Amino acid sequence: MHVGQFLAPEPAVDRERAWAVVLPAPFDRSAGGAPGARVAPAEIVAASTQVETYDLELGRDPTDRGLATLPPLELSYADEDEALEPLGRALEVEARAGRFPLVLGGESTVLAGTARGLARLGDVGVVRLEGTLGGDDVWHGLRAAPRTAVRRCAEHVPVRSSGWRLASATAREWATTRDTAGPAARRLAARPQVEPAPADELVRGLPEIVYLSLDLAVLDPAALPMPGNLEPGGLSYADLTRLLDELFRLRRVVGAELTGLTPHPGNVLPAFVAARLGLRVLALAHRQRFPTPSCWE
Amino acid sequence: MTPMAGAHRPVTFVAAPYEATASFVAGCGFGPDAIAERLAGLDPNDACHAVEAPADWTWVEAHPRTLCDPAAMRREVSRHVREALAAGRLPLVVGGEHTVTPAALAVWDDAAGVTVVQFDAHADLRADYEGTPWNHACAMRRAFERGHPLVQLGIRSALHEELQDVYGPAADGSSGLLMREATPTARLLTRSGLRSRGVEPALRGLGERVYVTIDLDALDPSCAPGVGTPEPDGLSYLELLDALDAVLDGRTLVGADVVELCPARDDGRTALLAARLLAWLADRG
Repeated sequence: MHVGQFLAPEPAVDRERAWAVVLPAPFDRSAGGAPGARVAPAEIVAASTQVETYDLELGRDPTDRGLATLPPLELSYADEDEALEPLGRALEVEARAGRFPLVLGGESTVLAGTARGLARLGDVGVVRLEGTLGGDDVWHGLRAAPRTAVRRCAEHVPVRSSGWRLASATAREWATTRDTAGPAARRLAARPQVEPAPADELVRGLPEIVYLSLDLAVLDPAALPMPGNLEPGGLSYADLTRLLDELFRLRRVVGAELTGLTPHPGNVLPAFVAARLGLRVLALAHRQRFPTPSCWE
Repeated sequence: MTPMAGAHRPVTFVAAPYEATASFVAGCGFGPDAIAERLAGLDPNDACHAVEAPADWTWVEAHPRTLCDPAAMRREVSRHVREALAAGRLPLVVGGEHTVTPAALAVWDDAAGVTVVQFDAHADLRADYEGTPWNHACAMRRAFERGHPLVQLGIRSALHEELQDVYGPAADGSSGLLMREATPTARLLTRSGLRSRGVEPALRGLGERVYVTIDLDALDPSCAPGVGTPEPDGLSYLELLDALDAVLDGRTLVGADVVELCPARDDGRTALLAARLLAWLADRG
């Protein structure tokens, strides 16, 4: 499936001339709420063409030093989490080349694949933001599923999962004993604007270099009304972007993934939200890598 | 507050169902019909704001929905706004896409004396877009070029180049507030700037006569989902009313518009909200 170029940069550049690459990973096998993530990368890229490339709040244009979108990965639907190994390999290649990879899921299970690549990069931890804690061992007989993604990730690299509002008793027990459970959504949502966003709690115990795993279901249904995201008590868009801003000040972020969009015909808002968050993550990484915007040079 | 009961200026709603350059989701040409239905049926028991439909109002169709010629649209919208003003009535334009705003503004020959206050997710300052200067992404650029001072509030999406064109080469959105002191003056408060600073910094030195243009995507999609290009993290309805209160405190509303309703994307909330905003503006006219 052809998905076009995220943010439609002009001029388009190939990956060797890009500082960041977008990796579409249309994996859609085991979402608990609703299927459809297989078309999510294409929907996000289509919406991104209507998003300005300049992040007004950060004063950064992540396309100004080259942004490339790679063809979608072909991922097996086999149960084994090795099926996601091509994603781990692609992520590793881009990170080793010094490029910032932004993975566009796909369901949040893709973390089971990206973690495999991250493990080969060295001392890297994962900051996970998701509506579900993700610490179950199996889900309907599957080892790799959204509800087990953090568990699979932890088999390869340290991970801390925050922003959740759903967790099974066994997942909570597992995550709490390992200090993998970060703050739940209620701790992070609707914080007064004068308080610093508590991003330090997202990275507690993690290495200095981290990878961001961001699932859209961390947002409240008011901010992200879509099938599969009905649980109340999630973060607002402002809650989330303040947290991300603080996170990028606290840790060096080597890459990110944006997962969990389940498109619904006639509702373009979730894809727009995803596209804006993709722009924000790239703009934050741009700010971290380059001291000044290119337009000042 | 007392519900308006004819003590204010009579109002002419100028329906301008113009839709020629919608970028993503089509359908804003059906906006005026959806708003008219809500306006006629406004519940008078708005206990929060004591606003109901104005006592003396007329509804005129500036042009048919099928008209997509920008010059003809501008001519017809301008004519109806001019006729309303000549009759001593407050013109409130109901879009349609944002391109109708410069058509309404064209009736004021003293552009420098009429400040345009824009609520929007997008700066709309492009010189041209998709091959035309009469694209909805260029509406405020056309107003600026006429010489209207600009106040842009709640903006959260812009091309860097369009900001530089108006606010100078050093324009940096991350400051939250952009200022242009040369004539015509311009102020831009981003969404986060509005949140952290309040509206007042953008209103200092604002002229006495004001035209308000409200693109409904200024509002958060949770309260106004019926727009063609939704942007997250918008204003709440009450934030918008508070800002409008501040804008019109001690100033005269010479005209206004509400644009970019896309009924195909709406569940009725956005059309009702638009009708309430129009009634609110009529009340302040």
